[in-house]
Amino acid sequence: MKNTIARFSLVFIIGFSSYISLKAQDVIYFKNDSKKVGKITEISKDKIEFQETPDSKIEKINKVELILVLFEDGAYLTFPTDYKGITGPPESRHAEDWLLTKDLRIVPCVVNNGDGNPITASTMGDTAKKDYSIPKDVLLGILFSNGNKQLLGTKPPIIAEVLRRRQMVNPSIFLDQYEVKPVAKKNKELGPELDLDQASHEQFKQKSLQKTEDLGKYLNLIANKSTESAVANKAVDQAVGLFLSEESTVETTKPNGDKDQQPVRSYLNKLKLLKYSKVLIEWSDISYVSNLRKGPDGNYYGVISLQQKFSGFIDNKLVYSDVTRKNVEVVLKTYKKEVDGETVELWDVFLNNVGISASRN
Amino acid sequence: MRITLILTIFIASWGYGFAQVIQPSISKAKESEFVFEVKTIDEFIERFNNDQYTLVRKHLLKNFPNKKIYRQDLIKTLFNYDDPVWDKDVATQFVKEVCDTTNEKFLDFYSDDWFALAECQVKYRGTSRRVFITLQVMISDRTGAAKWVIVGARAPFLDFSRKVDPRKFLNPISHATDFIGLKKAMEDKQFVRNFLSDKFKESHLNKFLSSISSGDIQFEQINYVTYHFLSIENWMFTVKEYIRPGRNSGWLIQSLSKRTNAEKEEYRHNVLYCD
Repeated sequence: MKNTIARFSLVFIIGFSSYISLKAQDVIYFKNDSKKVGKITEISKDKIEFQETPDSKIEKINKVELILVLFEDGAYLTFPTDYKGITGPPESRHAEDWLLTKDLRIVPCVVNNGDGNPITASTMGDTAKKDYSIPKDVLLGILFSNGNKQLLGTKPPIIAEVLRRRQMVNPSIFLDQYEVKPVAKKNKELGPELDLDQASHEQFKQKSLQKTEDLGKYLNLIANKSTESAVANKAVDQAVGLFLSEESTVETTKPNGDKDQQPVRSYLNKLKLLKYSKVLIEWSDISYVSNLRKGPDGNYYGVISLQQKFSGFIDNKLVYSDVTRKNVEVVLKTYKKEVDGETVELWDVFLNNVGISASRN
Repeated sequence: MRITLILTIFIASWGYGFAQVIQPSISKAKESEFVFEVKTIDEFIERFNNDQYTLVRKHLLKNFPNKKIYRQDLIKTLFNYDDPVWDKDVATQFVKEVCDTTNEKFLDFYSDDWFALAECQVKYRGTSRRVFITLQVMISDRTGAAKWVIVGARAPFLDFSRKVDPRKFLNPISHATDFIGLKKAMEDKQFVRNFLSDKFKESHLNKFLSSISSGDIQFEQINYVTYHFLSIENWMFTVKEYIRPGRNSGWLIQSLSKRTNAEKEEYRHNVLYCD
């Protein structure tokens, strides 16, 4: 969703391979500075079994040759290690995005836009709703909760060292120096449709899209069987925090085609019980965002339409997939805040009811 | 149609020669369908009004900057072409009239002459039944805030019996006995219409709300919604959601007809059940 239509088209013109590199896959980093991208199928005491493509032969790699593995689901493995399994260590997965700093520490946060420089980020559960703008040159890398990564030219052994230490920093200690001071909303008469200027409308749209993208990240974490229970529960709380209230509902379809509506928390908790060993929930790059309309409670209401692809895997085999169009109500809520001794009216965006439309397998 | 041609070229230019390790999350064909699908009634209104910022216009301008996009092209994409129930000549006349630059006609979300009609599923005394609920956008003069409000309902299973028996009535001297026959009349439920004025009109909304309140009816779900636009002079049309693959999908014009003001008034009462 961060990609615009234009960017997407451009990617296709310059070659599909560059698009692939942005997507999450397992990446194995060797001591000799080389790397391999593909799928790890098993990790034993001394070796890692690995396939570059689903059709290629399984390769067995000695662990002693390796320095680091970054898994497609956000997990990681540093070496030497005795870890065994078919996925990365569940405890290494993280519900928040990680900024790796030059003093070898980790700052947990939510990266709202990591494509440009500086990147923009916020933190979970921040009631002050601060935004931060962080130049990439103060970072060693970014590890996203959904498995995407940007190493920003840093050598893998250094990334491995940061992960081995896992020295977490209180986000506000690092981020406060990069805080973006809020811009007060223009004091204008509000009609039934909010007359946001072009810049604010773009900000509203980006913020709405960001919230839906964050929701997708949490859904992936919650529904995956390999996610530790504590991480999944935290992700449920954080996902609920994206919504206007606990009363916001999510519509689903039953096997007989009837529609069902559930409060958001109940929906998220049921996701944990899905039969799949892994699910992948992805959103389209293109979306429709409507005008905002003032409601009797003083909030402004709009709708964002996007396509969602759901893929369910059992033992790494895709067993179910569909594409649905979701219409998500978004609510622009205004609030007052003291800025430099003055009270200014600001706004934030929350998700509300989520409706389902077509299902296209 | 110009737009269709543009799309065909556009999709073909993407090609599908990239079967690699990872498939794109959502195929380009599906993304293209999504752009052209009319995803909400808001988008329908935007496209009808040739809004400069509507998604499909932005998409076409970005990819085909030299192509001029006309309002009539956008309106034509708002019709259902799969087994249509509208007449082609009537539609052509409609598009010509609303796009006439000397007197262009637009849709207004805040107009009081368009309605949503929702077919709902309810349980009535344990049995599944259908109820139609009509809603309209209401605006507060004081705050400018808007909300959808219920303006009508139709629950055929709650209709009073329409049976009439000419032998049953309150005779013209009933007053002399303080309407002693009224008790009997009210017990004769099958023939209650015998005791009503010819001008009697049932308020389905009142009966529906009363049954909700008494617990006789439990609301289950909305089956589907249609929109009824009566705001364009001499015309009315209905919009329905067509859930199917392809670019001609989403909220599209289902029916279109010429209507006088008197006919529209009748429609409000007989089809939309507005009280």
